Amino acid sequence: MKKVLIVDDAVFQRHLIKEILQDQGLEFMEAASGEAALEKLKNFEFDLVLLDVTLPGKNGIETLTEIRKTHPSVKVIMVTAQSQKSIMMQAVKLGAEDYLIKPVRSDRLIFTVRKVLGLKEN
Amino acid sequence: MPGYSRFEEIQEKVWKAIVRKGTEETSQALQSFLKRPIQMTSAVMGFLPISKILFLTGQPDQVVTSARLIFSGDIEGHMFLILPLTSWEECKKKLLKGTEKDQSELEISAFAEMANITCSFFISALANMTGLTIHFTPPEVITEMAAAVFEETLVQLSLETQELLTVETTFFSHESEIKGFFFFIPLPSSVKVMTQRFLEASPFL
Repeated sequence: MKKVLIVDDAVFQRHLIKEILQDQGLEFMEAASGEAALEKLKNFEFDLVLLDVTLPGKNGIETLTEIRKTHPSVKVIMVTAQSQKSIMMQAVKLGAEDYLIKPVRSDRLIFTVRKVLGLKEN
Repeated sequence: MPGYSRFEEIQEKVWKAIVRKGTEETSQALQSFLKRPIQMTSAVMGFLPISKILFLTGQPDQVVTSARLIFSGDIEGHMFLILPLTSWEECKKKLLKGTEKDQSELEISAFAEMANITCSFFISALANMTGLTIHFTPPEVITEMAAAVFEETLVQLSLETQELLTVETTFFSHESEIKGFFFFIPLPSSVKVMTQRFLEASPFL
């Protein structure tokens, strides 16, 4: 079973992502900050990180840079607000596989996660 | 007020276009977030005496759930997303159904996300059309009387002016009993900056 780490300081956003992906046969863990995400990555193996850009402390871009150094094989999908769309090009250059704009559409989230994880279509 | 007359001249053409674009995109985002058809009325904007702002959502003693976001950068001011309690209860049915988590934490977070999305789409449209750089703070969510929601902002702004440019948008869903308000209130000094940028961005005016 593929393991996904959801990183967002908003508990509702983490809840929403898990709810949308609940039937995709994935296992989830959550982190509310970049620092907490990096700690989880030290202690557990993940296939994918869904990473919010706006985080307290280390922001999403800084966290992505760190993940690319320490866990180059882990896939990363960035999640951001419409007003921060321009940051996404920077994220892709830094090695993010893809990005999603909030509010995240269910079909788009499922499609992107399955594509990045290399899962067959439902 | 000096500088406002020119603003008055261009606001019909440019400012309304920007607000229309902002509200169109915001309503699509809210629709996607709330998973139901959402319509936003055309934005009402104008200079209002501070004393009238307390009545924008109806009675000042009506209890509402609200989020305030403070924006800064090239322009500064405050944004509010406000829902009467009955509307927020209706939204929660859809957003939080089937959850066993701590409801109060999830509820606040859900409202904050709704405010983030609303303001983000509006600010993004404004920034794209004017080239202004605008950032905003995380939402402060409170459930209070409408007057109390505006109080801190109005006390702060009343030190600078007795009249504020206010953009007021109402949104609603025919499918269910949802009604809400979105307000964009720039500081008086920012109105001049916006006027200048509008003129630069729209040399045909």
